[in-house]
Amino acid sequence: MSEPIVMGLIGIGALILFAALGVPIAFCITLVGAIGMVLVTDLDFVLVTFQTLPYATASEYAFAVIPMFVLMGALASSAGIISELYVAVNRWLEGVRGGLYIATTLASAGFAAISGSTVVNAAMFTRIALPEMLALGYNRGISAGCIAAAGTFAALIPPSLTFVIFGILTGESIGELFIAGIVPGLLTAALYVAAIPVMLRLRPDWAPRPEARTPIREKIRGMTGIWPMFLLVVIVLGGIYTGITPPTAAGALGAVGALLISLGRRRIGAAQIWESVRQTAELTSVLFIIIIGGLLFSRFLVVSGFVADLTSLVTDSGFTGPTFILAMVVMYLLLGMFIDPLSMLVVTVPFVFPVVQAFGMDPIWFGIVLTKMIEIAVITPPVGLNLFAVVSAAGGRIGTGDMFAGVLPFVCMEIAMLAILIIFPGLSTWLPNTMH
Amino acid sequence: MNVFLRFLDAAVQWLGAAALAVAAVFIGLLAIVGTADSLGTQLFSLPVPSALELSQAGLAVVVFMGLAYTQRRRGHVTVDILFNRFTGRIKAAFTGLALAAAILFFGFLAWRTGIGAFESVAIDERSWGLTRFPIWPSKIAVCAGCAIAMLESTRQFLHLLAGNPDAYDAHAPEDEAL
Repeated sequence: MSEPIVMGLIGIGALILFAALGVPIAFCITLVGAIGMVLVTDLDFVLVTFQTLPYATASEYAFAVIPMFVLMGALASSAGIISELYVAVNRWLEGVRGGLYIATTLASAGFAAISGSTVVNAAMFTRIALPEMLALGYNRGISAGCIAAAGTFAALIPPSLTFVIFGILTGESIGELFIAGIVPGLLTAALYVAAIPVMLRLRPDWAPRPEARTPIREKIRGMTGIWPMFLLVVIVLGGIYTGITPPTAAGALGAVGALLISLGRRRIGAAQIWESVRQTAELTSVLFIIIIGGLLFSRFLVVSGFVADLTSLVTDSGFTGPTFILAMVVMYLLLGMFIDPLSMLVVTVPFVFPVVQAFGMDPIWFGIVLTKMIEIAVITPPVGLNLFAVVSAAGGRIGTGDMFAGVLPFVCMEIAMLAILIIFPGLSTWLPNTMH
Repeated sequence: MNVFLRFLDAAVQWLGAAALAVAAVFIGLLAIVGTADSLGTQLFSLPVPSALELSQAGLAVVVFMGLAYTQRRRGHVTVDILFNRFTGRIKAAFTGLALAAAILFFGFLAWRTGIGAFESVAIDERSWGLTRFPIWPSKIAVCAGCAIAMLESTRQFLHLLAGNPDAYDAHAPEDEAL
């Protein structure tokens, strides 16, 4: 094994050790990267890097997409638009067995088009959908599993924070990644809608017989409240797709639009606006310092020669494109059981992505596959962020045992979807290829 | 020691709140400038002058001015699978390690970005847009944000040493990650 490989592995090992001991990932990834760079280059290189890279990263126009889409989602949540969406979809599905599972799936996919955070999505739907599911006699574990799994749509359906971070780390177009996520995201939701009735045919005790029937007039009236937000999503994504607005400007438009819609409908006050802005400031800081740390760590891996040597090692060792992707699936699914997705992304992308490029794979397609693996990671026990978000937001009504068992059918659906996306890359690349 | 800690609590809390307020103002500015520029360009062929450069400088302010508040809430992403199994002194020791890393991290960033800000002021660095507005205030804000976050970490570390867990062990927010 070459010296750069050993050096890189020691760096990654030190990073994992400090992270496991409770040091926030942004601090350990930066400090390990800095020490590594001092060892392989010199102190001056590190000092100059720390003087320029943080400001250069935090003042990149394209990255302003993060606070804008976070703000848009936070405002929509504060204004209660998600509850309205859920009630509207539920009314149309109340005559179907397992209608609440399907309503949660569809409403979650709808909210994913406003919010980019899987954890926020899962926590919101736990508060909105779970009480009704449990009151009507739906299976406790499957209800929680459905909410946790449907929450992951936010990672694939734009605006996705995962895509933004992947785009920043790799230099790929954030707009193309957003558009590429639409078909796989909607297909995943469609797979859930198709698989839930099959699941209930095998286990009818998981959902009660449908009873209530809302008049059609009421169903239509329920839709009137959600169309302005739907229109806003179409304008924002349409702007990105046609190239009329770059993602950052589209995000700004989305945030101001969400605020105006909420104000117009008198659903939001000064306290909710402040809370949304506060959440945005906090999440922006959290994400950016991890990204800056990831870029510093990535620089260490590059200047140490680790990335070049690893790429040669993998390509010369008999790996082909498909076997490499299979190895990546195994690696990410295992890592995802223990490490949160953001940390996994910033630690692994700097050395995995150059190998992907060396194999000549489509970077946008790899971004979609990686995001799907991250979706699976957040619902895989024992460390699935969405599982804990649901358990925590359920306020004692869901135990971790119920949660872990209930999410399994949805993990199977996700793995099936991952296989489809790997086998048919066109599902991910077709739409971005038609852009502009 | 307690008098000093109480002074530090009040001072750092005020600084952190002020920094968060600045970040909030700039989030609003990013949204308004982005929307006005987008609509102005598409509808009236009237872009906002230097909208791109304003957004760039504003984003840097948002990112670094929110750091102290995030540190106060202990909101930074942590892999706690092993850490949560610790109790008592071992947990306190690793909390101390995390806070020491935070002080080092923010301190180092404050130092280096401070030098960057100093050089920017010295040359009166300005944007390259249509309106050549000064960039150095945003560079000063970046350094100030790191320095306030370092003070917040130091405050938490001193409380840990003084045995006041309530003063440093804030809950982590649920919206912390993806």
